[in-house]
Amino acid sequence: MHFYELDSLENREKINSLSIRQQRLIESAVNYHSLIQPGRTLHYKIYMGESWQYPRLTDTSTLNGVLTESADLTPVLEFDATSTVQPHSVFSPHYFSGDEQILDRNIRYILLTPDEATDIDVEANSPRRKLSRIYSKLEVHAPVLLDDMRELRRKQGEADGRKHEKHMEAQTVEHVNAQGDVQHPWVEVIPGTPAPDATKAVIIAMHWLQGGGAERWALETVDLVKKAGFLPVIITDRDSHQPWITRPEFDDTLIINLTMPLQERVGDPTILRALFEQFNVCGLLIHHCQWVYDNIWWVKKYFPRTPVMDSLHIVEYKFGGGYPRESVLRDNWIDIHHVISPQLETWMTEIHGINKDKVVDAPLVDLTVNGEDRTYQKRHSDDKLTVAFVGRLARQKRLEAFILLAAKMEKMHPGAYRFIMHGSGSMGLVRDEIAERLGVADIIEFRGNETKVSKTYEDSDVLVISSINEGITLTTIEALNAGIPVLSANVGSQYTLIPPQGLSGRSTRQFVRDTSRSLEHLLTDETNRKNLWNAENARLNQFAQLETATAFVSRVLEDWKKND
Amino acid sequence: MTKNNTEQTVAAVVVTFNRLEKLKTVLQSLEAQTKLPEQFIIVNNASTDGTDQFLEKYKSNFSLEGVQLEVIHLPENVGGAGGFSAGMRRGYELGADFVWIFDDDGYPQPDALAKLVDGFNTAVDELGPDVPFACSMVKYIDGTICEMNNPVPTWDWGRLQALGHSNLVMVTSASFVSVLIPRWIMEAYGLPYKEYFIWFDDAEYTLRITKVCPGVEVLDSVVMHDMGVNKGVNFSMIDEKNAWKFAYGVRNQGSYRLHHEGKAKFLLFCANVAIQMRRGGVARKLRRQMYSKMWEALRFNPSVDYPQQAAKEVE
Repeated sequence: MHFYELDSLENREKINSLSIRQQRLIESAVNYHSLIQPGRTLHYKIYMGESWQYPRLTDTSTLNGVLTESADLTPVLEFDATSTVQPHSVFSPHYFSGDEQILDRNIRYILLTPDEATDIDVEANSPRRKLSRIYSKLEVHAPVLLDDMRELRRKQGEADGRKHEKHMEAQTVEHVNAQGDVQHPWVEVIPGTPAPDATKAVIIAMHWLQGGGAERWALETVDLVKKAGFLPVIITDRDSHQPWITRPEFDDTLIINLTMPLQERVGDPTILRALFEQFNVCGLLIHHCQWVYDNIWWVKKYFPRTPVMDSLHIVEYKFGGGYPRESVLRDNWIDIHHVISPQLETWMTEIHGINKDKVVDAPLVDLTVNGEDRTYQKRHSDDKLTVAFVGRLARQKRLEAFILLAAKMEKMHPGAYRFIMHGSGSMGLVRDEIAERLGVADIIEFRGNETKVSKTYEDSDVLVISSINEGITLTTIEALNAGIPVLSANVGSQYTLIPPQGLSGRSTRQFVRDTSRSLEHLLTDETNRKNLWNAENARLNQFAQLETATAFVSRVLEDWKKND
Repeated sequence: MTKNNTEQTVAAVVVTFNRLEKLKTVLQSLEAQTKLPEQFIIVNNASTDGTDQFLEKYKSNFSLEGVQLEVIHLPENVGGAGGFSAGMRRGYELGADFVWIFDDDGYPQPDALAKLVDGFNTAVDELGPDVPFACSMVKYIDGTICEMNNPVPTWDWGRLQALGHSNLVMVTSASFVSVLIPRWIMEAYGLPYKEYFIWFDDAEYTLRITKVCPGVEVLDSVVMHDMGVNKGVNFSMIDEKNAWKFAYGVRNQGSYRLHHEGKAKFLLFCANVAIQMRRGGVARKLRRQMYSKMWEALRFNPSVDYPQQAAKEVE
């Protein structure tokens, strides 16, 4: 979907010669600038950055070229694009960032990144402060001690998450002007209304377009929105190489990958205004997208009949609970809070007093694989137990705890266990360093995105979840569906599916101690393994009695259709 | 909605004080514009020479099609600065996309506004939408350049000329004789300091709004400035007759140097004024008066008025 006209067919062909990912990133950027600058012809300069950078598509560096032209990069492509947007209110070309006016020279400098770029590349080149360097050293050389210290922070974080805070104030022009600390008094911009025949759309607000539990669910909602007959309009607000932008789910959608800071005015989230004028927006689905959380007051002020639903997965230890906290603070503007675990439901309703009618626990359990279809998978070998880790290589997944566990098991029972770590992410280098230091680099098989996750479940006898925090992991459900039991740190709502004999203490120290004992039980007696899977399977069946997230959201979307 | 060039509206703002005959010529020049402003806003600064009666009569007989006439009679003389502030505010309130401001002794040539708007839009096409103003070439009535009203060019003043626009020069500071200011500038940067009363209000304002992007002088948009003598001014010229005006100049410019540029610039300014006065043989009494104005500048630091908010009271 284009909101612009290119200056020549030749330039269209040049864009088409780039990879699908890069084409879509360009489309996202040019659509963004065309939507907020209706009617203008802008000159675009497209640059190829390094793998350690993230794409810059919509932020203020795209106006001043500080990361591109000023860095002496040579554009790989240049073209003019004229916005074909017919606006229904005034879109000023003048923006300020704090006290500074953002100068617009009729040029947009767009920075792409190579397709092979990963988060690891970015992490490996990120400047480190002294404290951060010490932290990284501790992470590799004293992970247990470090986790003991983190546990203190987690406990404080949990206490903070129970504190009540005042509901957010709408950041209206009146409110901001009254603060006094403004570059100039702002004037309200009232959005226009869309044309009567405007395409019906649902905005799906996401963190980014790359792997993650919340993103997998968000992706499913893209399909549901399409099936319900709406155009999915995807907004993301976090830096990423956006590898998932090429996925077929995003065909025939409008994607706006925001990179911050944007050209915005006080009281006017300009791109949102443009979308609400161009489409008949029938609802908003928020999946972990801070920028949209920050602007839902605007939706409810100017389009009060537009329903807003958010999906929440996990209570974080930091930021007073993370996204659930953001949601609670904006509860007045959200019609439905979809949660995926009983723990989160309790946190929302009993700790924070959110109206129970607004909080719906609809788990991410695929009912097509019901209890009768699920079958136990026998152990692959009598004298060896294969233990798997599946997840992003991110701090939340506490991969060092899994590697410590592997080292301990190898020391206690040399050769009795086989380990598979499946996943990629920004901590790939840390993983390699820890495994090397603990001397287990050879006994752990590292798998990346080139191997299907289902293959890893197929090759394994037990899944271990070492995360510091989770809601209910999709991997737990996937492993049980694949017929293998799960051992998990007792975090988030994992207790909903994992019985006490499969749970371990939360700290790394407790996790390694408890899980190593459990693994010994599973190694020595296959009945233990089967009993554990049976118990977990029974809990999953019971949990699956709840309406699934898929069924629930489909129903909600039907309602949104009727509302229109 | 984004307006195209032909939909842009202009409010002409004329500030007058006891120059009725010249004002009549100004109004005739306005009426003769090939591109008529959508609004005429005449700010009468409490004139005592019959300007008020003339304007009331002018208003009752006014029949220029497509032009709205607004006459503002201020209860007291608030100086050129106060008059421009009031007139520009009214232009903003009337919804004009631009205000076009000048004194009561500036006679725009028939195509002055048309050329000014064209020049502004050309500059926007080349430099981007943030161009803060366009001003005309100001000539003395004998056709020579007006010594007092020369805008200050930027270091790269020829950038637009290099692109083939030989009538455009990039400038920073300009005087309020035919300056076209877009609405968004008033909203974002406010109005001229009405507290300045007279002198340096135009320089301060145009410097304020060109911090990010320069303005343009449109050389083929011409205004004739009917001033008494075509002569530039400096602090060596202070005498009993003009000292009141120089006093505002010292205070305003001193205030600007100190509060907007820093102590060093202020001290340099003071030293420069002192040297010029000594070289010009300015009377001791008048020199002392100017020194007292430098002292006054230490505390004189008005705040910006914005047209989207009620004006602040003058202290």
